[in-house]
Amino acid sequence: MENKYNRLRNFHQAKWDEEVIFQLHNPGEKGIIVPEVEKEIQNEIGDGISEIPASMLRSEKPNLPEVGQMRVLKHFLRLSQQTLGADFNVDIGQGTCTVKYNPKINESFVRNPNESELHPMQDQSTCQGTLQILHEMGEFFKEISGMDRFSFQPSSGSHAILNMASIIRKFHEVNGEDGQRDEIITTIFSHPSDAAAAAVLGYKIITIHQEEDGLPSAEALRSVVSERTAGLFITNPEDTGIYNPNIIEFTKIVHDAGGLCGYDQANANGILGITRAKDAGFDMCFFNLHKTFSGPHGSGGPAAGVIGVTDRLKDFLAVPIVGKKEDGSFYLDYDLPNSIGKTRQFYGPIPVIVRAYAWIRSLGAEGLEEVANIAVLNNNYLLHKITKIRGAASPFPAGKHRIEQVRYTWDKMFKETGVGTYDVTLRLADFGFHMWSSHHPFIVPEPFTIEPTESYSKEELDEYIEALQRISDEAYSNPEIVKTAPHNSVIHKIDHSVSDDPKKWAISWRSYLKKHGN
Amino acid sequence: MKTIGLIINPIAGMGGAVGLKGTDGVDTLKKAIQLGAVPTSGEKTKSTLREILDKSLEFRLLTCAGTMGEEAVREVGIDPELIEMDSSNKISAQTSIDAAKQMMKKKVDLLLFAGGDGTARNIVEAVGNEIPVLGIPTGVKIQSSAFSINPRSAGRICTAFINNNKIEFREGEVIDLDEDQYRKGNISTRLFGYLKIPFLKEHVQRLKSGTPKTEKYTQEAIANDLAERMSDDTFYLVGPGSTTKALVDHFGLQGSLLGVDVITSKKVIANDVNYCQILKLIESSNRVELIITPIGGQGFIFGRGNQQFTPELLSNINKDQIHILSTIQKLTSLRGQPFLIDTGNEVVNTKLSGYYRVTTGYHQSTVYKAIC
Amino acid sequence: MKSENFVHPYIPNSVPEVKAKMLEEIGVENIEELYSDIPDQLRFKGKMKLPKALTSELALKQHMEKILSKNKSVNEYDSFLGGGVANHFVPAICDEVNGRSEFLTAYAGEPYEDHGRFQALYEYQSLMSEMLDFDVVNVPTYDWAQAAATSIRMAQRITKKDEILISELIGPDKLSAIYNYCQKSMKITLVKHDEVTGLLDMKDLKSKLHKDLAGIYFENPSYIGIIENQGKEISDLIHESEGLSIVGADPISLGILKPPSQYGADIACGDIQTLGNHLHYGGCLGGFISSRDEEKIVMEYPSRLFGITKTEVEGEWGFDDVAYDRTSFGVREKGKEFVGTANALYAITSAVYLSLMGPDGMHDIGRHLTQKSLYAKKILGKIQGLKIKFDTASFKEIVLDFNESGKTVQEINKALLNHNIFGGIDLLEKFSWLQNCALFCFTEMNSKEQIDHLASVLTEVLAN
Repeated sequence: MENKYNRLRNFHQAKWDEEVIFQLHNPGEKGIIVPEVEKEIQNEIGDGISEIPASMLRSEKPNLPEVGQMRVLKHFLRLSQQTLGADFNVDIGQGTCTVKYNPKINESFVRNPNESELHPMQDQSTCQGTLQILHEMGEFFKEISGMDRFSFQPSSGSHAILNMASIIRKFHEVNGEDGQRDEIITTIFSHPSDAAAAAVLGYKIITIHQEEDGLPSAEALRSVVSERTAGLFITNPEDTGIYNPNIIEFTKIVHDAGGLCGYDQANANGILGITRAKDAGFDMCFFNLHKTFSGPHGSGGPAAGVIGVTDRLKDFLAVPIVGKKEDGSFYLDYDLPNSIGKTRQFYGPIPVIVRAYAWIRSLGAEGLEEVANIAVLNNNYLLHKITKIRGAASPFPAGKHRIEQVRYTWDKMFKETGVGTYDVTLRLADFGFHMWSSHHPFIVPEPFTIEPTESYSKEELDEYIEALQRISDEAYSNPEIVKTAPHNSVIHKIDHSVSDDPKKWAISWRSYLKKHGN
Repeated sequence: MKTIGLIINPIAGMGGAVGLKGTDGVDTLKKAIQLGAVPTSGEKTKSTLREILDKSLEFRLLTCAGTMGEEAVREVGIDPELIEMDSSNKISAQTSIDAAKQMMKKKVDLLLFAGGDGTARNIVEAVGNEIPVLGIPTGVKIQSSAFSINPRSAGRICTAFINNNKIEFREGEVIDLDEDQYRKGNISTRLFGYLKIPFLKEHVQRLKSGTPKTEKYTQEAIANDLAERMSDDTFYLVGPGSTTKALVDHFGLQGSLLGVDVITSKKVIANDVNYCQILKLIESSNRVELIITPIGGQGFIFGRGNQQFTPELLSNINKDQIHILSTIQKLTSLRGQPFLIDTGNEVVNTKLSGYYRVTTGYHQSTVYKAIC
Repeated sequence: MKSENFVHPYIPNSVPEVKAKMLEEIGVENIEELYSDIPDQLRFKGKMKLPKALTSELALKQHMEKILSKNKSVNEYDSFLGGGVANHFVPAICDEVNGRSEFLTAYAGEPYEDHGRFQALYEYQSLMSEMLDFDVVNVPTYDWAQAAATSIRMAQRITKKDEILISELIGPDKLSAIYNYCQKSMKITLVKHDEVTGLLDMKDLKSKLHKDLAGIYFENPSYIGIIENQGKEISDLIHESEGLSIVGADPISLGILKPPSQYGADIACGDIQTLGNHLHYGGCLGGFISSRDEEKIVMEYPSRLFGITKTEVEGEWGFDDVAYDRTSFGVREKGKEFVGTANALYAITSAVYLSLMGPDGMHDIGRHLTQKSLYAKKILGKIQGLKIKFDTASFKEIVLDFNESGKTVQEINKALLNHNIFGGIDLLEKFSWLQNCALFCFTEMNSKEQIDHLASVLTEVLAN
């Protein structure tokens, strides 16, 4: 039996049974010493504290744990070992997240003091290097997207959508139509943030449902555009991995109605150098640097979402952008007459931008195209293999091939065995893998989304496939082993019952002590 | 400790195997038996019970004597408590109703019933939506959204219910065909009410995006949205369903769950009106609009469950006079299948087909296709 | 041109044999066929004009280091810059932990295989909650501006009111971001400050109070460094008018300054850059939000909140999202927000920082910063041509008024730059009423020698 799965590892994750940091408290231990101010200052000023208004003085020191330095280090290193980062696994199961290789050399650049020790308000003549990177990045993205100007203010993909919505708002305001245009249209397989971030600015959201083939129809779009249409936010390829061939018709319909079109390019990894936002008629687009452009995901950030616009929206971007003077020097340009203002403090998530810059420089134009080609090759290879696994399928006939990811379903297996997506996810942890289902709503039942990117070798993809194959075999022969998983992970099945109960949930250790004693 | 009630309609499903489109009525049953049908309902229920047994949980099981529960339960190795029933009576629709009423009296926490739409109809008549009920699909007609996907999944939901884990409730429509009409080739369905159905919260892998909403919350949000758009000089005909009823509730008014209510100027002027009353009202008003909701799992917007909207009436209504309300969950449950229209009049069907902007939340709508 | 057989180190399956095998498996002739759904008219036929690829790691390193060498860091220059981020000491273990591959490259696994990530973020929340003396802290959002904007929208949803008062003493960048985020759904009214003390103008506040306020947002210390000692009074007043008190605070001050919870705040927010994170040109921020553990407040957080729980195995800790379906109080959807990837890695870093510092460390750093800025006040206050603008207690930043010198801040900073000094932030760019004033920041990174040097250079510059 075991021979059948000869690629799978006899994996077990590190398990330290590590305490919560507060349990390591030992009065008197020190993690680090804060230097005292110089003797002369002490003589001159005294303790300083007496100068603080008594009403504002903290009466007791914060109740932090006291832990020696090595123990703190060990604690967090153990926690790190109890985390399955992309550097350790074939991280293709977190579909739509584009978890790819994050080159180590790029870490050295953001740990270089000439990058990390710059204050945002220091004189611009003293940060020409970073400004140059920002400026060149703008130029790179103009090539990648065809757009005419970029801003690096957005702190994430969702935040970039908020920036796009703000630009739409401002654009219609300038044209005296803001009151009237209060609807944003999106599609059901676009990222949910397209709707959510636009709603923050008070927009009404119209979602186009897909047709039986899996794609939204132009006819459906036509039925809802009007003088109330502010704009369209759409992903393409959609989260299903299907490229919408009618996209140019979509942007035309919206433009004819007087709206603007924003392209959510979170799923750009398979189309770099293949097709460009501007050519499809978009007025705006954004890219996630922490996805396609190789920023490490950092356990959930930092993220960055660069946003680009066409000429007519050039002056609407968030400020500042980085300009280049005739003498070749770079400067922060705040002179955008219709700017939506600031959407973030300072100039953008710099470390994420610097890493992405280095990644693009390493690959060049042909390298980026090869990234797309191989990402698509890998994806279709998986599609071919996974749909042969009993109980797995890829719904929707449209798109004979898929671009960079596929939304699959375990519906059949779930109906036949009771083993569904979440069970598989937990069982995969036993083999050292992740698997993510998909965004709500679950139009596709028991969904899972796989995005292999360009980073993983064929052997690694085969290993992942074999894990899926094995779990399917188990589901049909011995479902209990799947349903009681994980077996080789850090911990065992969690008691979720406290998490929705205000009397029991404990969002901090102090809260835990109050509610659960000991 | 939780108490689970179980009622098996032992004859459910017998008609189907021999092509009878249901087993309602004594004569039909006779015919089915003549045609060689054998009872399967109890057998199917056993796979539900095994799923629960596997988990070695603590619970009480209350069921009916003989083929209505006891036999199946004993066969999987559970010793059940039995409710008292008059054993002299033949098994009929009334037996299911009586049993369900007794179960409610005995305060079962969850009532499982095995059967089809006919049985669901009996259960809803007995207990309404007062206690959680879950249907084990063993009958011929399974159109009501009161059933689990298959008998085993009922077991899984029940297990989670006993464990107090990941359970939410939704309202499930009980729909049934008029079997006599159906056998003659005429489709005539009615909405008989709503049961309170437990379901497993789909496990949401937690990252990246917003959260799904509970059904009740969404219904409130939908009502808020529509209320903003309603005008005082229009007569609104509010169709059956809990999503539409939430709108009536929003105005603090008394609505009917299964009937058509008429609202104007934020007042209910008539409850549960029939076709003739509707026509009369329309004559006296400037503008009439319909507020309806699709039937969950099926997607009918006209022709099932709201026959008060006759083809005659609908021939005077245009698409822009129709507001469709639906929770996202309900739309999702259609798995991409379009809305269906079957008024019995081709011209009307065709006229009302096309895209609708369905209200799915506050300032949120989904464009969805209706076909005939 | 790219050779057919070139294989980039980041793209293993470029190997021609592998490619061929995979294509064969799929059943297509070439990769081009896989793009058949993209209409020809949308295919990009040209070549992206990007600089030549630096495929060797060495070449890339040389290129990057050359660009970065054009920067002058605060290690090289004496920096007196603050204004939201500041140069604080980062203990070595902070960088050791946030550089760990596991944390650096993890994303969205489950509480099982990513147990450590969940625990680290839970500990971040727990440590911050001690600093803030509140029971709830979120996984941080983008930055302080976003944290403040979200806190304001939370107040809007909790109170069901649409107007917010904001102290005019918050950074204009932040104010701009808040405006952008709250536009259309809220009315923003600014509250003036007292020109002599630099504190909030209570008279102006009182005149703007009414029952339709969602609350007030002010900062402590304020943008101009002053410790707002009327916090309790402000909170009381806003509570009387049935709004919420929202206070932004620099967490590194909370070892000695009262946390907002202790003077009536309902929600506190701020930025964690100062807790173990490097400057990165202002690109390394993280906005925290914190409050009491009340269901009606917790339910309005758009952020992820991790909670502690047990597992089926005795003695095992588990961590889980708390109240994932946070909807029950949001009937009015106007205020809906979104959640996405933000800054978890910086939160883990701050958790390490607070664990190392402990109660004494946080107290000591607070005292240290106070002493430094007091010393600077004393030394610089003696210089001809400049005045200390406000005679009110401040924390680590002070406003220098150069009006007497007849020089602009720009001129002064230019002169300081010649001495390898980054002078303070020109407040004219921030507040029109603070002409020829600059905000100087003093941290543990500024030695007495540096401050003395600044004093002597300033003396010279102002004298000329």
